[in-house]
Amino acid sequence: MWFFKRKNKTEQLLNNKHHIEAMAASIDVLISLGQENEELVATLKAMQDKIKYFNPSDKSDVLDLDKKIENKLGDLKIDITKAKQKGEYANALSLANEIKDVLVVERNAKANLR
Amino acid sequence: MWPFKKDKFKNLKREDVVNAICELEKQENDIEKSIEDMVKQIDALMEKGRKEKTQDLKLFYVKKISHLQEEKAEAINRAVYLLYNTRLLNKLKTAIDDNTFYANTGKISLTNLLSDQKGLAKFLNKALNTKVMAEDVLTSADDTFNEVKGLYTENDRIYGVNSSDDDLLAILEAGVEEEDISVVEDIDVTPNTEVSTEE
Repeated sequence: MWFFKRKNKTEQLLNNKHHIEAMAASIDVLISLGQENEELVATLKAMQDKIKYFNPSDKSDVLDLDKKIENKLGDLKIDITKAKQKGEYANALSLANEIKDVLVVERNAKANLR
Repeated sequence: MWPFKKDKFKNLKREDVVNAICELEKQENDIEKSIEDMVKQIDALMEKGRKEKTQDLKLFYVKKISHLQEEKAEAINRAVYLLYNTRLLNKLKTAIDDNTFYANTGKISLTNLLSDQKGLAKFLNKALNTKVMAEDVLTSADDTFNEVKGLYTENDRIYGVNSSDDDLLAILEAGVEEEDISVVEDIDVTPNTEVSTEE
């Protein structure tokens, strides 16, 4: 029907590309919040390098994973804010490693599947 | 326009809730630090007041302490309010996550299959019929085996006992009795006159 316009593939890929750039940029905020802890900063930088080079995708399961990573980065921001006040970074580090070693790897694997 | 109310929750972003929580956490922590400072000041003033001998100065310290205690109580109330607010925002964040979770889980194609009750019943009945038919094949085969086996009768000439077999069997059975008798006859009943040295 004429009034239902389906997004074309190029538009979807472009949207995903912007989303990936926004995620990578949000990690800069996390790095500045957690700069007291060197291990956390190193983990965040490694994560940012991986996210920056995500392949844009229009697959629904990949987009769902991107949303999940974005949500986890939001939770990480809360954990780092709390950790900064109390000086205990264990929870924040654990979450950062989970994002970097599990979700990011899973996202890359799914995006590269044909 | 009055008939169209703006749905505030429609455009609610998780990012906004996260930022709000972070902001509240910072404020709550600042208040906590100020409370700790006030407590230290109060303790220091109490110590000074105990050591002070002049009554006027003692009164001065007392006034200062009571002001600080009032400020501390107000700060505690603010901190408690912030904690409650943070808790509610965390609940809102969880609700957003739940909404996304249940929406995504529903999208999984296999879950959609389960929602079609009629189709599911049809599929399960088909599977049951397949199972029953397979079992019928085996039981029919078993019946056929039994039926064919039932038609067979044993050949008496090969496996049965004929008259000559019967006679031989009788001799065999009698032979066992004759041996018993001969064993009895072989035993020497006459008394032994010679003394046996073996004893």
